[in-house]
Amino acid sequence: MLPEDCCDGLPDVTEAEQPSPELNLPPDVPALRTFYLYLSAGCNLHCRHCWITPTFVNGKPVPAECLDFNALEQAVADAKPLGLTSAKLTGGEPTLHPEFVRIVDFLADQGIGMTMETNGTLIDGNLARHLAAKKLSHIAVSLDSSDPAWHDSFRGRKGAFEDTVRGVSHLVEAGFRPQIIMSVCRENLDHIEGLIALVQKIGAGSVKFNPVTASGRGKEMHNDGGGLSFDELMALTRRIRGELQDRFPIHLCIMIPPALLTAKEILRDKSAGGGCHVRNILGLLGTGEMALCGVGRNVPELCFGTLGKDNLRDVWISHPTLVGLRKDLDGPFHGLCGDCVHAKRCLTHCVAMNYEMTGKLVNVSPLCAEADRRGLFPVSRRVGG
Amino acid sequence: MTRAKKRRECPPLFLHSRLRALGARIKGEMKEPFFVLRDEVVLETFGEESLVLLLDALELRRINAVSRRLLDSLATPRSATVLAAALDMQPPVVAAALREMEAQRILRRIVSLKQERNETMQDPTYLTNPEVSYRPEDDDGAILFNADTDGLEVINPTAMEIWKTLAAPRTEAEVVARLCEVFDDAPREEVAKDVSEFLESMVKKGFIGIVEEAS
Repeated sequence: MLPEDCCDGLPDVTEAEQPSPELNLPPDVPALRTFYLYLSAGCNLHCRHCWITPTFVNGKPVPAECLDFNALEQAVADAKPLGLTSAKLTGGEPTLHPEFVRIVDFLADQGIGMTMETNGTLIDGNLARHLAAKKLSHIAVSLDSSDPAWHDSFRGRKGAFEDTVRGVSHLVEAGFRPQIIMSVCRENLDHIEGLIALVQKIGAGSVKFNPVTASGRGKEMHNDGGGLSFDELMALTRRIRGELQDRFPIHLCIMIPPALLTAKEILRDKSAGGGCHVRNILGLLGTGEMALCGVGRNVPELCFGTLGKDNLRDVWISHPTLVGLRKDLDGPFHGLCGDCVHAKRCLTHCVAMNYEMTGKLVNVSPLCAEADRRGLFPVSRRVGG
Repeated sequence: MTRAKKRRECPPLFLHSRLRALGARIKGEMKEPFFVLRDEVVLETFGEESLVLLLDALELRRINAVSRRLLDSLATPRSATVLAAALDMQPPVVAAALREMEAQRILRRIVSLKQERNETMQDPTYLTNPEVSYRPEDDDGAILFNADTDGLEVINPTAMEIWKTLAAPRTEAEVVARLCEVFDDAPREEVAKDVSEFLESMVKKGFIGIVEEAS
């Protein structure tokens, strides 16, 4: 899964949320609204591009790499007074967690709204119906091609395509309109239309295109020339949000910084102008570490403590990295972002990606920086005009 | 004839009507709008004609020598009467040129804008907030940005037309009429609904204001 995967299923960020007075938080501390639960640090697929780099699990996962149920129970108890209302179930592959159903039931009982990201291979009819009964609001499933052999090769396991399509069908039968997430690299650029047609045929609701980023295993792919260049990415964005969206009735989406989208593209997809909910999110890794998001798996300094050892409230309120991040996100922004009309909503697009590529969380998005270097950053999006 | 003598010759009723006329004139001048050159404007003169570049919208306007003369005096706010007197021009000619340049977003009107209409306002006029810069991107949409508040809106071609119409104060009915001219195949009820919703939303967000009526 890619960093952009974090932008789904949640309300759009258009303005910084003001903390509710009943939460009794210090004035400069935002509410902790959402857990990103990396339930399993393992995955039953071995994808060539994965930014999380989970351990390949051929059978049952190692227990130590699955989020401990009791630790999660305590974390929810600690986070509800901080404002917790939703959780994204992700991984690795979240359904690999031996207590996955128990976790879903627990969160539902606690009134925590849920979304999920999955490769879909382990979802059968019973599980799909159970997820529907627990009212998950959004499920995203990874599928990268309509060509089974290509998908299997990309995902590192024969039969992955068939299993995923079957899983999506079960979800559709249970009443979901899952979102398909296609990881796009140079090799499968020609597979896009075929995938959209397949997605429509199997009844999924939308397609999100995530260009493979140079993080985790994607780094190697980029080094080998398999990632998309800036020009290819911009051309892909124009094609998806223009010609393809004109032709296909289902919602198509690709996330790039809003400054690089045309006014027409933003008008067509209101969520495109918003940014990440990073101010209101805490990631919990399978190891029990509290982290910015899944980036903590690869970047130890973006882990802020461990459930059971460190107090979640203290971490949320006082961890220097979170305190610094909030301060920086409040602005003023520097460099190109300081001259961009979108800065307060875009929040530098993806702080995890910024950190991996520039060593700073709040920094000009590499895409905007490249656009600026080429003289392609739109004048109409500069504060000075 | 001295003034005192003339006054003595005036019957009391005539004197009162003169005073009333003088009061009305003063009140009228106070109501007369003041205009000023917008900050986002660059002027270049070529012989008898001048070009005006609107830096925010990246649009060009062509103006004649009369308008150019007026613009030279509009670095600070002036009314048509004041300008006409200073430049020895006919007030109606000056007023018409000012209104034309306001509609073209070369000038802006000095006016107090509100976000709420008074109970007593029958038919309020609306005007774009001068702090908001308008940045069209082709014909497909435009960016509205208020640097003071960091307010940002992306608007569609219909809203772009409303925005341009409100470069000068207009009532809602006038905006609807203008849009029906531009989009002549659109049903009037639909246009009226779009205009009403857009005005309500933009006034709430402070991008458009209700012109405060002089008391």
